[in-house]
Amino acid sequence: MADAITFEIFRTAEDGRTRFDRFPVPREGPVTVLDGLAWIQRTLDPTLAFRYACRVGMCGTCALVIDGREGWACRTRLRDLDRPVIRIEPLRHFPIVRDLAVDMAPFFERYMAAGGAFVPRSEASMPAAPVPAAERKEIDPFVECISCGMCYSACRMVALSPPFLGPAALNRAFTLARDGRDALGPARVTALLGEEALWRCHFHFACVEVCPKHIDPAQAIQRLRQEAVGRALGMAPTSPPAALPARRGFLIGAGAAVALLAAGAWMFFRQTSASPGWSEAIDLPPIRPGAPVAVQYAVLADGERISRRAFLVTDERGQVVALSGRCTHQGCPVFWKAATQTFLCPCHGGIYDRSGKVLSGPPPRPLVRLETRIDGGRLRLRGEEG
Amino acid sequence: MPEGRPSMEALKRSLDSPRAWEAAPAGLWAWVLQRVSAVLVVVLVGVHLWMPWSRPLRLTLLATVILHAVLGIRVIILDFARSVRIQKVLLVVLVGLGAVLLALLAYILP
Repeated sequence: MADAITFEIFRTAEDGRTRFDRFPVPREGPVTVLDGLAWIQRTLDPTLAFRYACRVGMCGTCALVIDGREGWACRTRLRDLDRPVIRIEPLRHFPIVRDLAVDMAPFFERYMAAGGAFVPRSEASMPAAPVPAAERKEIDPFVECISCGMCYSACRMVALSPPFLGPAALNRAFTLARDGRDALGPARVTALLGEEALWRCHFHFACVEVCPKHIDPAQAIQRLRQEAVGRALGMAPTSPPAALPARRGFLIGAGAAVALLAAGAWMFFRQTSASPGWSEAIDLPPIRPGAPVAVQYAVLADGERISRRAFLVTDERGQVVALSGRCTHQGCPVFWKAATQTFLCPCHGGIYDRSGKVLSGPPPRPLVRLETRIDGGRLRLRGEEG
Repeated sequence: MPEGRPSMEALKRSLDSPRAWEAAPAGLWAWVLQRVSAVLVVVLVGVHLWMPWSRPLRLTLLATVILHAVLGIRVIILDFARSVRIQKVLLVVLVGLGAVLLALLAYILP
C-alpha cells in the first residue's frame, strides 16, 4: 500500500460551477476519512467546506458519498480503503451549500410531510405512560434513526421522483403509527397512501444497505403498506403478533391457487379414455397422388358427436393412408403447405413430411395413422384417441 | 449570494447516468431486470407467434418469462416476509432455482 492516498473531492465555485480537486493525504497520521478532510483543510486548502459534529459515529452529521456509496466520514477508516484514489462527494438529492456541505432543510420538511411529529393523546394525564412491551419490541429497531440522510441520498426512487418522501421520513412515520400513546393512530397511515409516499417505494433496499444504524426503513414501509392494505380490506392493522393471520391468509390463498392450477392441469391433460369406434361414413373424395386431401369426419365419443379432420395421402407404395389432422404436440390442427410439401402446425411450428414423419419442431411423435375401412363405397376412419 | 443559501441544485442519481450504477444495490438490479424482462416478454411473445419454430427464440422467451416470474415471486415473498434482510439471499436462491428450471425445461422440451 502506498504511503499516500488521493482524495478526489467534489468542489463548488462561486459561479455555480463544480469540479473535483485532488489532494494527497498521508496514510500515516489521519485514521479516518474525516481526519483526512480535516488534515486537508489545515495543511492544503483552508477553504474546503464539510460538515461534522461528534466525530465518534453518533450524530451522522459527516455523512458523505464515498466512492459512490453513502457512508460517514468519521467511521470510514483509510486503512480499509485500499484504493489509491477515493472520490468524495456530498450527499445526493440535497441542495449543496458549498463543497461537501449540504442543506438538510428539505429532508426535514419531508419528515413533517410524513407526519413526523408525535401528537400526544389528550387523556394522557400520568407523568409517565407505561408502554406495552410488545409494542416497544416492534418499534424499537426503527427508532435508532439519527437523521443522517444517507438513506435519502442512496434511494434511487428519490432520484426518479423528487417529491417522494423517502425512507427516513416513512420510517419515522412507522414508529409513530405503531405508538399507542400517539393520538393520530390510523390517520397517519391513511395520510401516507398517496403516490409519493408508501407506494413510490420499489424495494431496491439501498436504504437498508447504507443505514449506519442498521435500520431497515424498507421494512417500516412494508409494514405500513400491509396495514394500509389490511385496512382497505377491512381487516385489523397487522402488527407482528397479529401478522400471522395475514400470513395464514396468504398461505391459504397460495394453497388454493396451487390446487386450482393442479385441477386445471388435470383437466387439461385428461384424455377421454373411452376409445371411440368407427367414424360416421363419409364420401370418398377424389384422391390425387402427391397432394394430401383434407377430409372432415365425425366420431361419437361419450355420446358426443365430435368433428375431426384428417388427411388422405398416398404413401410410397401408392397406398392411400389417412393421417390425423391433429398435431401430436398440443393437438392444434395442422395444414398442408404445398410450397414446401410439408404439414405445418401453426401453434408451435411443428413440421411433418407427407408421410407424417416429424421434420422439425416440438411434436414428439409422427402424425397418427388412422385405420380406414371402405363401407358401401364410403369411408370410415378409426384410431384417434381423445 | 447570501451566506448559507444553497448555491446549486442537488446532485441527482438519475438512472440514465452511468454514475447511478456504481454501488448499485442488488434490489435495484432485481427491479430493473424485472421491468426489462417484462418488456422483453411482450416483444418476444409477438416474435414467437410470428416464427414459432425457432428453438433458440422459444428458449429465450422461456428464460425471460422465468426470470420475470422469479423476480415477481421475490416481490410477493418480501411482501409477507417478517424481515426484508433476506432479500439478497432470496434473490440469489430464486434466480438459481429459475436457472435450474430453465435448464430442466430446455432439456425436456423439444
